[in-house]
Amino acid sequence: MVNAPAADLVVHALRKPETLAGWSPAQWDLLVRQARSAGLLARVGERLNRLGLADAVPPAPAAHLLSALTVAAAQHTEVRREIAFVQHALRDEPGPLVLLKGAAYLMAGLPPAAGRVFSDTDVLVPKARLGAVEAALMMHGWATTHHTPYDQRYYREWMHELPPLVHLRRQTALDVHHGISPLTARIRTDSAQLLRAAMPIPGQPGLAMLSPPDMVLHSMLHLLVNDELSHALRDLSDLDLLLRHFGAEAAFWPRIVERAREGGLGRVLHYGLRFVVRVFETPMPADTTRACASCAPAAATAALMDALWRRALVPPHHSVVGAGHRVALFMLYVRAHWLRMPTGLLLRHLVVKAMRRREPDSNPQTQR
Amino acid sequence: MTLRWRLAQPGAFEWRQWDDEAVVFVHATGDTHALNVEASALLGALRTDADAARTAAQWLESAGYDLAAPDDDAAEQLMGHLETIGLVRRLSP
Amino acid sequence: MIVQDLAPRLLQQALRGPGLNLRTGPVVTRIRSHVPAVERGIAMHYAGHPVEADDAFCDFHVSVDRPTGLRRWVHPQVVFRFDGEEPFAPLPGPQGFPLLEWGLNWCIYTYCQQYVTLHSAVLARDGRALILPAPSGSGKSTLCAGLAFNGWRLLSDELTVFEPATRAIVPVPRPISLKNRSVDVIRAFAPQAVFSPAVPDTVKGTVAHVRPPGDAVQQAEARARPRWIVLPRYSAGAPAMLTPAPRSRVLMALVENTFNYSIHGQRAFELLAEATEHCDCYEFTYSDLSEAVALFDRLAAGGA
Repeated sequence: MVNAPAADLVVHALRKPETLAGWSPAQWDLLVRQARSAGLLARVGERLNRLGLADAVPPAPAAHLLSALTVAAAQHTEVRREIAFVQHALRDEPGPLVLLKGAAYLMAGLPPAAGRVFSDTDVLVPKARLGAVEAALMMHGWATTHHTPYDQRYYREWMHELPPLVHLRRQTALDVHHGISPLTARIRTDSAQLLRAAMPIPGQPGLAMLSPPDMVLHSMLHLLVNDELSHALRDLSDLDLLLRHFGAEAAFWPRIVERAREGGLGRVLHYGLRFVVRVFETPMPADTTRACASCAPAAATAALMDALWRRALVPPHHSVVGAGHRVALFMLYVRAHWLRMPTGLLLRHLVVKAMRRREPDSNPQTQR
Repeated sequence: MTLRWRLAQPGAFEWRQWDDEAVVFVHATGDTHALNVEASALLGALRTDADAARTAAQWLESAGYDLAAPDDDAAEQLMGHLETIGLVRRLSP
Repeated sequence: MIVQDLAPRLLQQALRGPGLNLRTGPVVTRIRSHVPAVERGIAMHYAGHPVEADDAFCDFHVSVDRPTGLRRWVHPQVVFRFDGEEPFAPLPGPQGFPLLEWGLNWCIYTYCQQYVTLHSAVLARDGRALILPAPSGSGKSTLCAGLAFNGWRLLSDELTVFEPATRAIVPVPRPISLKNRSVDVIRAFAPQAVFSPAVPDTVKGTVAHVRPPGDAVQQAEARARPRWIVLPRYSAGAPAMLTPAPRSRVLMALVENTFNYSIHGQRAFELLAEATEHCDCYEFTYSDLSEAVALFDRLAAGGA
């Protein structure tokens, strides 16, 4: 029997899948539940299949891997369909349709698409075209959600996206972004630059994705500035896969350091690399680590961030989350919003959220 | 009135027919539909000759649709319904 | 080892402690509960079901217990938990065992997506399956129970589970749930049936469960191939009658009753279309259960 780490089996399974052959039924039982809670069950299954290790999985856990892969495949089909519909609706817009996150990974066949679980489709449009895009989408059956005036302002004025859209007939979700960080954020990125650097997706006419450095920086930003941390480990896993893929080309590393510098994202890059290496041992050149060291925070902040993120970057499963998990998540939640909005707005936002929680009929789907 | 229609591209849907009625699975939407006798027969006729717009017109006429009547849009409705669910496409004039 | 091999004290200790690892067909569920009615229900209805070892792989980890907080004591409720999460709102205290049963169904159609799963009763004779897709109120459960106690092996009263690779139906034999009048009908029709006490005032009315007949549990590993698809409809005063049903209508009924049709898409369409093609398909109306059962005997024998 193989010694597995006491707590987080998911990272172990992703890092050393060849060791799973010796696992006991009880270990498999825990792995399946932890991986499911982290949104990584399909990824574990896909990894084992790709490495030819599927035969080493006992039939009972194998059924759960198959179930997760079946759902992931169905979601991929749905996202492809959605993208086709969105392309059709926006066919009069100039330029290609720029895909973000999972949608981009899927259509470009990038490693994070494998076994990835999707909830919605994300696209990036120029800010100047937002009105036209929204109008075209509505004509083709999409409707806005989050109808309270507060929520509408939250998205349109303060965040970097339209309120999430839902297609009335298909009940699918679409997020239209016009930047990758909020307008009011302390971290500012230039979405015009992102769009200029965007690249066509090979084999997919009319579709484009961010350049590799931008895609990776966006992935890091999404992780670090996200207030919804239940999928933090999955997002980190996506980042690990992107870095291994793009990082195979030596020129990628100086480019991402430079791009981060241009966009004021040095701190983001520092944290992103630090955490992904710590959890997934992602290979990277020593030069890059040194270059990022200059963007490190003060020692006290660094220690605090390390402590908070160590608690957040685990499967959100009761077998793993230790003392201080909820406090850590709350602090990171506050920090995420602090990064997104000025202090005054932040306080107001927290108050609104606290009052919403008290309402007995509050619909979880309308909460922000 | 000239109707110009063609079947949606090959492989756009899966089709099963028993007796007079068909059930189709449309790939573009993932939807499954039961077609009534008329729609099933029309789709069957189109399947044998995907490009023949005339086939549709002939079938509709033989089925009693009056294509010449300016205010009889029953034929248009039938084709429109098939178009909505993704089985046929209107050809541009 | 089966549940009835466990001394009552040991069963209680397991349920209140590490959990009872109960096998129902292809899945093993670790069940925990401090609720006496749940414990009694398990002892009665799952007497013949296998118990797996403490360190076995469990497909689902569930519990039925009182909620934390006020409703633990005041108008006490019961809540179903799946691996620590609460997927449904709590129910009134006496509904513990029905809640467990609904929860176990939910586990299958939510977390076993590798199967194509229909909301439908299914029974078998000599390995040939009879599928009864129908909405609630169609008399499906009464018919299913009647057949289960008259020569048909119960595979499930709620879930028809297809394995896509083999197109075989996988049994998940569990207690049959009956509502309202149905309970009295089956008590009269099958005196050998073992019933739980009726639980009134649930969202489905008065609910009772019947222990599955022994052969259903003993042959839980024997899969079946679809042979008949019958759309049942109870109609007061109507004579039992099987009418050949148009296959397109039957296929749509199967599609509409598939929990995870959109997950499987084309694969589900082809699987269900093939079943429709190869099965004898009927619509069925009845009012008298004995008449109905006799008619199905003739169907199984090759003529109806």
